[in-house]
Amino acid sequence: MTHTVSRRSFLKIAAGTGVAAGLNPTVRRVALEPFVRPPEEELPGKATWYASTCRQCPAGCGIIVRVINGRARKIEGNPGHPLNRGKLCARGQAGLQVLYNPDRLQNAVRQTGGRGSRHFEPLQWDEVLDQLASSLRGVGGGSEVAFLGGLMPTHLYPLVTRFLEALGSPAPVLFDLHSAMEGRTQSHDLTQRWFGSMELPIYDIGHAEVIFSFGANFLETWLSPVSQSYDYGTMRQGQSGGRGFLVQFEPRLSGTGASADQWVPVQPGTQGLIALGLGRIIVEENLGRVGSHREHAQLYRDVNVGAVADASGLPVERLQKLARIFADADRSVALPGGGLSSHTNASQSMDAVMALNVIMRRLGRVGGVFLPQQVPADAFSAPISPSPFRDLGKLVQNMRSGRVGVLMIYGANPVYELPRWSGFIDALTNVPLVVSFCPFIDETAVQADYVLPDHTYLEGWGYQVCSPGADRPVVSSQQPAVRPLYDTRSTAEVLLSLASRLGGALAQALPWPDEPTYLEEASAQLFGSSIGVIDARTEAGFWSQWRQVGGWWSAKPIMQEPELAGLTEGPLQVPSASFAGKPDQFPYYLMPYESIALSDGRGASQPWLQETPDPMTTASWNTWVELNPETAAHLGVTDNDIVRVVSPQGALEAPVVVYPGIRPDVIAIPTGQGHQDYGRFAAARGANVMDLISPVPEQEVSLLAWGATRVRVEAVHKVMTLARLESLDGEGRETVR
Amino acid sequence: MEKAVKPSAKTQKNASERRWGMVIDLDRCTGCQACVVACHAENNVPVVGEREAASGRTMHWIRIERYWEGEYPNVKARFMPVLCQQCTQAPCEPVCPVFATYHTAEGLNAQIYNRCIGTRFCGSACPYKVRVFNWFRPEFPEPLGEQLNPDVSERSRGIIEKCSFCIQRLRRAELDASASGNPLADGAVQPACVQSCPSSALIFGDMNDPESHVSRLALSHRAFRLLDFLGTDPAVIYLKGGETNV
Amino acid sequence: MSSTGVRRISLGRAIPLILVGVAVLVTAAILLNRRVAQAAPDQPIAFNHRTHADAGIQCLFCHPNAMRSDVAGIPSVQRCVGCHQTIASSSARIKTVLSYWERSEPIPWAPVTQMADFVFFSHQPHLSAGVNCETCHGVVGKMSVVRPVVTMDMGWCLDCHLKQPEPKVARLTDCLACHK
Repeated sequence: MTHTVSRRSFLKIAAGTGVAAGLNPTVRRVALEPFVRPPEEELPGKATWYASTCRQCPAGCGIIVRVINGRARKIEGNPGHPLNRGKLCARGQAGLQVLYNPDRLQNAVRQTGGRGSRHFEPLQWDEVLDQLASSLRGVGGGSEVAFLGGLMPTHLYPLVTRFLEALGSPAPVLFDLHSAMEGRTQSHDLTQRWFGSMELPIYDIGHAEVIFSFGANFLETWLSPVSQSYDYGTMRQGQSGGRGFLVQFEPRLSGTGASADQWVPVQPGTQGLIALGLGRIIVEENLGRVGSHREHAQLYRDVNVGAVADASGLPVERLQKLARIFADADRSVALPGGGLSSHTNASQSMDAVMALNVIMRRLGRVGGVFLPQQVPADAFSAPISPSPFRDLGKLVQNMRSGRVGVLMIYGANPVYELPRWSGFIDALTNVPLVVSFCPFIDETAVQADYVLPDHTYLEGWGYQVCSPGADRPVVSSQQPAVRPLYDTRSTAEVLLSLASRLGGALAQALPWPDEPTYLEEASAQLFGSSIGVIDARTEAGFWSQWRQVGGWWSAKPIMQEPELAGLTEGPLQVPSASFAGKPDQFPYYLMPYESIALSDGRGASQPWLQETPDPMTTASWNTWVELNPETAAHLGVTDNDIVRVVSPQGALEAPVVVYPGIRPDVIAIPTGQGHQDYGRFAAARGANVMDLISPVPEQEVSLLAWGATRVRVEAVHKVMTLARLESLDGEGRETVR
Repeated sequence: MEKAVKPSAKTQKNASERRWGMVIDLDRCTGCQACVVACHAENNVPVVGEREAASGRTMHWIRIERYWEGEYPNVKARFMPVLCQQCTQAPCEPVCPVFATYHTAEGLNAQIYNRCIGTRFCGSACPYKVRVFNWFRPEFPEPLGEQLNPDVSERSRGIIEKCSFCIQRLRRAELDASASGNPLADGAVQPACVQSCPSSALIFGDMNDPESHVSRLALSHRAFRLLDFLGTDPAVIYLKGGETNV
Repeated sequence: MSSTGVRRISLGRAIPLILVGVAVLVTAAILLNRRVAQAAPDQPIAFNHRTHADAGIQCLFCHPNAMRSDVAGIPSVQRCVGCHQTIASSSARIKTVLSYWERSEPIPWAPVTQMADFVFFSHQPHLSAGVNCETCHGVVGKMSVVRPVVTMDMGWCLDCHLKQPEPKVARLTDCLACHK
């Protein structure tokens, strides 16, 4: 039977083929738009680089931003900057996804459907500033303005304090979860107690022979990770005297622990005790080549090494060996890390660690402990410490009692970051006006009445005194790499506008017409300095170079030797740490830790960071629970089984990661996920470990002991495939020698 | 294992003056992932999302492998960055049916995107599994697309991609050098990963220059290469992480 | 089954007809494509290169970036206005140019010469090597309306690259020289 095709069908097929063949994909209309007035510094086809400061964490690394056709394409470390010396971490690299995030606010908005409705309407800036000004006029005589700041740039802080002072309101409260987990406040207090200074000390990691890190995750999240990582590289392979030796004391092997030569899995809360024991051994056996320890012997008068061994679980022989390692080195240094701040005995533990540096004469010595040389100008010389947690408690009390008429929130996400028992969320109901400056709708903005979005940092101005500092005094400058994308406004400019609208004392306190004028005036204080790298003959030239170079720093390294101001007489004591939850009901210690990519949660909006594999677990995009293999076997769970973790305060569910580097009595959960808002990449993903944090009965609101919660773990007989880079089939290939 | 040697030049038809190579010092690497994100930003590498990541389809051109050694409490973890080894005897080159990948005179394993038809033979052949495939059309929800690097193609679905040692930077540096008349100094051009690495674990340069940093480091007794026994002759040399000196 | 009014062709005879038809259509498509590719695009203002070249203006006066960077660039509105605020400022076309200047708006020119997005091309090394603007863009100085004079496909670029001095050829014919 022959196939036949009708002529009509043939013509249809032919016509169809003809149309298909003739179709031209290149019918888009493209326009080439030249400049109207070409800017001086732009060469079409070539990139222009702008120096600025990274704002992804408080460290203040200098960056340079590659801008082509007015668009920021790449961020690199500023090679001239003495803190990060041309290097940049994962979070710094991801800054472009903050600038170009699809979920940014494009206008000032008012939440018209009431708090929590997520129904926002855009407003004109003039309108909202007028409304805000009139609300501020009503402040005074029992009603005050409260300002809660998180990641507070150095240049903004004086404006905020003057603003509040002129309104008769208390100073800003500074709290953010990242700083809390780094133990920043406690570190400032530590230096105050020992050296009479509020500066953060500089630990000369790069030249140390032996480093004893007590809970300091200095390669990932603690204080200034890029600078510390740079120094770590030097400590390993860049020193002429040989390779340095790192011992990490922590209950869970962190990224820094993974790079350590020895990991001492300490029982949570006993790090300080161990430091005391080591000090006692050093003094008692007169170890090291520093001569006599008689001067500091009384520090360890009340320390019994046997008791330390019992309480910490480390045998005496181990303590002795460690003490010898520390003391025999020419250049040893002890780091009191963020992990210590998670316990109720934080300050005493940190004292015990700093004491090791004192008895080994490491103050002001190469590879030891220094204080930064202050920047020689008033605008930059006062270190800013995050507030003690009890100040947040006072704020909440004021809010609850109706004293706070206007609450402003900048650079922090307290509704997400704070545990419920802090009372912050509930106290919001008694605050008539809540204003957020967040560039995104985050959990706190959802509880606000107005959101006045700040520029993201690549669009904004400012400066940052790096804290901890570098080997020389340094102020990092910040300038816009691109024009602001949307109708956002710098928070500093909002304050200046409000001041001029309100007039009177406020206008006198903040007389500057705009932010760049304020910054130029501040920077000019350094114009006359002879020690700086900027060589300018006029103030205008200085301002120009300040922006071009990325700030001001001294040409030569200058650091200060810390002088002992206190604590060397009395005997040191480290009380045992208290925990919430009874061991029989809650058998495990909960150790939250900061994810290197997501930090305290602020990185969750950036897809690059969400997809970055966690260094230790290689997992991404979610929350997980790390269990020691023995613990997992005991609970009858394995990788990807979902478990329910219950604390006295709350519960969460997440998949298991069997983690060899953790004590069997400890479980660890990373921070950063569990957002309800904050954009499409952050929302509805994972769980918020802060939901589990419980108040320690004796401390309540005066202390955020974020590592003092006990939990129990239950299998729920569900499975979830956690996105991991590594495969779980165990068929590893021998590629590492 | 035999002592590490520099990648050989003998198979190259038009022996050029340069031979790009990288040294990765495992004693400095902290596993911080700065290189991973820097590479995404520089090379327009897409993010695949949680579901595809869980299926093993992430597209990191450089990844940090983490190896556990020992058991609690004597457990150690080690990090190893793995990227395209730019093998002189690359197994991926002969298997491509359309010659989309080949070896350049300067020692790079080149991948030409618009020639690739997506058979994925090269990805199968690669023993290091550094070649990644665009299973889906890469998405950059606006305005994330504003960040894309104009010096690097945006790949579409069905194309294999991998580390190129930031060829766009090498090309740009060579052009600038010949335009200015100043020869390219050692360390003047760095791939994005090398530039960002906080601990300076990644070093890049010309292996043909005996004075270059990479050449000197390659002579270290700590030097080794991955899967050397396969005969791939990689241009990436690792330096073994050290043991205690106390 | 056949219905009235339809002539049936057997498949045996239809296939060669189809093949011929396809060949004709594909050829037509290619030729049409070339015509479209080499047609002058519509411009917002009828800029005339010939009058400007006749006035003695060099290519690099308006397109100086060709010497220094990847793109030659289109002159800014300021450059046009620099002369035309006084020269021929009463003509309708010049008035349009000046109106863009008044409104601080860029003139949305249509690009004439475009490379595929996977191609890396930089003007600077070509000019440094002594390549004339006319070699690739045609004698623009004699064009009233600019149009492409060649189809810039890979073969065309390679034709010239292969003719370069021997030491350069290897580098210029390496795929990575142009494929980004």
